[in-house]
Amino acid sequence: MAEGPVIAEREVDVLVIGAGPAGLGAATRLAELGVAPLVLDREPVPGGLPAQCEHPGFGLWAFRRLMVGREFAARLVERAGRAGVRIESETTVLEVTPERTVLAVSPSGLVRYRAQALLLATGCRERPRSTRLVPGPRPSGVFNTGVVQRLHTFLGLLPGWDVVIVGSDDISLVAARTLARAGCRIAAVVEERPYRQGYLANEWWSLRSLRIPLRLGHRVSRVLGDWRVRGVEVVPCDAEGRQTAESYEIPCDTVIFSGEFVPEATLVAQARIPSDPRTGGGPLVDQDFQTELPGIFACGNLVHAADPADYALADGERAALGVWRYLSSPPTGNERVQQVLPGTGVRAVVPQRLRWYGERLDPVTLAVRVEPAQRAVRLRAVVSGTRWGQAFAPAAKPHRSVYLRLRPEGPVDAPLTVEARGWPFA
Amino acid sequence: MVSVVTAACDYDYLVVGAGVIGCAIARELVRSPVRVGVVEQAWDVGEGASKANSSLLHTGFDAKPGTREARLVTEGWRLWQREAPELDVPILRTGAVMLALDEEQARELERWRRNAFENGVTDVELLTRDQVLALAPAANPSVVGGLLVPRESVTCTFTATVALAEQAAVNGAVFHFGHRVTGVDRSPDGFYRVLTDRGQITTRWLIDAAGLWADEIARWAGADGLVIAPRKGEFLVLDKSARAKVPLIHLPVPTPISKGILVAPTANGNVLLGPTAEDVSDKRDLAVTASGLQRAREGALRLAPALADEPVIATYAGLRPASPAGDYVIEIHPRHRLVLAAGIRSTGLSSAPAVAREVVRGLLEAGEPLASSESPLRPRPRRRWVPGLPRPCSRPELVAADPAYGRVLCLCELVSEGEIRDAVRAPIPATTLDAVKKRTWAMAGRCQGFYCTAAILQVMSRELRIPVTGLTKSGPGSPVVGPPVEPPGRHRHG
Repeated sequence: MAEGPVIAEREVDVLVIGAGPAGLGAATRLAELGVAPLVLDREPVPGGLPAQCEHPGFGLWAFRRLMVGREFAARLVERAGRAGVRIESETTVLEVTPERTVLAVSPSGLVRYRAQALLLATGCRERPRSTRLVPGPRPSGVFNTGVVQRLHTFLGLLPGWDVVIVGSDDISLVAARTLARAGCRIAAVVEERPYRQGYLANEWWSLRSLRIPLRLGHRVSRVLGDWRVRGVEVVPCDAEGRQTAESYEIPCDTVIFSGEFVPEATLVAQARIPSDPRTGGGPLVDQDFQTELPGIFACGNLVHAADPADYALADGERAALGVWRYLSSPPTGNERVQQVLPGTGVRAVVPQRLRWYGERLDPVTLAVRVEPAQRAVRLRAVVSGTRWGQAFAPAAKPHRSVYLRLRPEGPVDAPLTVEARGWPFA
Repeated sequence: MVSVVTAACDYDYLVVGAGVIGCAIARELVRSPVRVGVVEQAWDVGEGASKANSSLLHTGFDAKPGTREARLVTEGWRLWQREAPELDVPILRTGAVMLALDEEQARELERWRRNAFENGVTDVELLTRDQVLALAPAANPSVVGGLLVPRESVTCTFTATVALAEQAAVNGAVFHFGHRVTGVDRSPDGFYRVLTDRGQITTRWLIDAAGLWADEIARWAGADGLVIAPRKGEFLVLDKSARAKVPLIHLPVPTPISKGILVAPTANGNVLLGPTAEDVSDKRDLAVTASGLQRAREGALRLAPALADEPVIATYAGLRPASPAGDYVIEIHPRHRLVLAAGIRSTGLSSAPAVAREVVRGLLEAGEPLASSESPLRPRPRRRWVPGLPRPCSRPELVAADPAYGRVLCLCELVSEGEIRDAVRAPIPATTLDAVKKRTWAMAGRCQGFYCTAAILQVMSRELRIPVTGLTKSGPGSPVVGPPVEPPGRHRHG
């Protein structure tokens, strides 16, 4: 009997999983450094989530100009191609092992890659209705923003006619604008917290200019409708979530649960890469974006979901340097590791460790998530009473990082603690 | 053998309700050369109580001895073991442990052990605290003892119902989906005229397997006295990370009111918490409630507190068609040519093959010329995947033979385009998004369709040859998407 089809084996220097901004940013920079990376992406069109975004707000950092997501994604792909990056589309990773073998499948077959270094850049997704435990029946017409964007961008379809958007992150506000301009009626944008999550400018541009109502301090307590959504029941609530007034119905045929991003960390969990519950399950990384497993790196919104695409791109470029350093001088394993811990007013910090390769370290950028939301925030990075760095932000909210750049002073055994002090929000 | 009636009516036997019971009965009937129809109000099989239960295959150890339920569940368990391989129905013989959390419950265990013996389940075993914790590491540390039921098993209610229906269809049963029965008439020539919102169907025998609506159908057909009281159960589904902590089914010690909230692995590698038990009046009330979910969670965490941090990926509610009599109602009325198979509550999945045989036995006694239950059925096309099997995308020979199995659309569950296509082309075609989900598990994972919904709609649209705007979640009235953007289709791809 003839040999059956087998799993092809391939050796690569650097394998990047995910062709979004983070993965493409890293791959492009690595190619420029003389390492040939291979990028695996499971979509037919590479570019990650920006590729399905028709709204502007991308590219200011990378290309010095505001552009729509699709154009931003296309430019990243084109730039990567020019640098010599190979992208395998429609390729889904089934398995990652701690020894850096990766099993992937595409219509042309299964391949087992063996990589010197592996970079995970699988990005993030929104929490669906079911994990938010919103009561009520389960009719059609309940979406995440990501699904709506895809229907709109790739299929030219709208999710419905009368829409309620749940959440006030920038993606939620922009979705309201996009749908309204495409002909939907936006009944309301509903936000459980007492403050708006996205930027003020975005509220003016997306909502106020189109007279779309934003209802802060309103929780969706029930989805209504047996076949198709016929409305939502909302409850006015205070900052602690206690009901403050009678609940009422907003008639609509579409509900979009928006924002509340979590890392797409399936592979992290499957490969048993140690992860940080404070970031929602993203891997623990050091300042070079190396995880606890040697040679496996992770960056972008997989480690801090969800910051704007430009930040993910910047992450990727920094991770590329880490990968390059790893390949040119593999670590001995004897480096000293300093913990980075969230202190007062802080929920999570990325990276979670500093790895000291010698007596000096290059400046490090920390992505800090505050908790709760604060105004006029001062962030301080402190090691046993000594301040290593600080930053100020007029406002900081839990769903988006505030960045703090610091110069490590020298290896010490005490952990680095980041604390935030500011005025309460709203 | 020739059919015993002339073509004056559409069917010899018309089953009302394409749940697991109706499908099992139809499959049993098509062993004989008779005309069998199934009429169903939903647009897929198993859309009622068969859709939202705990997917357990009960041994019947805890049923009330001497009841029809006890007998049929025990027989059903045995039949499933025999039929499952041919039907591609997964059965995980995980076993179950009933956990006693205090001394009073520990005394109850002995009673349940005797109950199991009376039902012929003789391999149960009383366990000490240490034995329980060795078997069930996530169990409440304050457990004082347990009762092990080794043959209690886990299956998949979706796969089972679809498999029974498909084999029935392959062997000649005709399914009428989207036909809601609005009345039943008897024509002068002795046939039933079953009126539906899409026209009438005539039949010689009427078989009422309508689950929650069995009482209405029975009343229309002239059999008064049947009452079906819906009892709601709410469930939570945990992500696959929880599965390793739950090697077997964790049962509470039942109270006189309910079997209680359990923790069970699923055939697809998740963990199920629930159900609650609440009598409701509305037979369409499938809403999950904040309080119900909380009760289900709390009850489950009493059994296995170690699951507290495991992420919930889905919730659902189901209605059990309970009868106040507390037992199955299986009646054959030869004079009216009416069969009732009703009041089959949460154990219906386990007992379905036995209920079907019971019905056929009754029909034989009534003089119907039916073949024996051993006469063979044509096999149905094999499924490429059922819960518990490796996905086609991980099998090089399948991907090499058909690249569609290498194009993964649903990342969480690793469902390929090929599986979606197969579901649409199956003997009972999946025509709705829910039907595709039921057969492939696409969109049922942790992201609940965030990445894949649009791509799956495209494949369904291509296979069913209808535009995406014509696709529904669960039938007419539940369109998945709204109108096209004007001007349409600026940036189509794929």
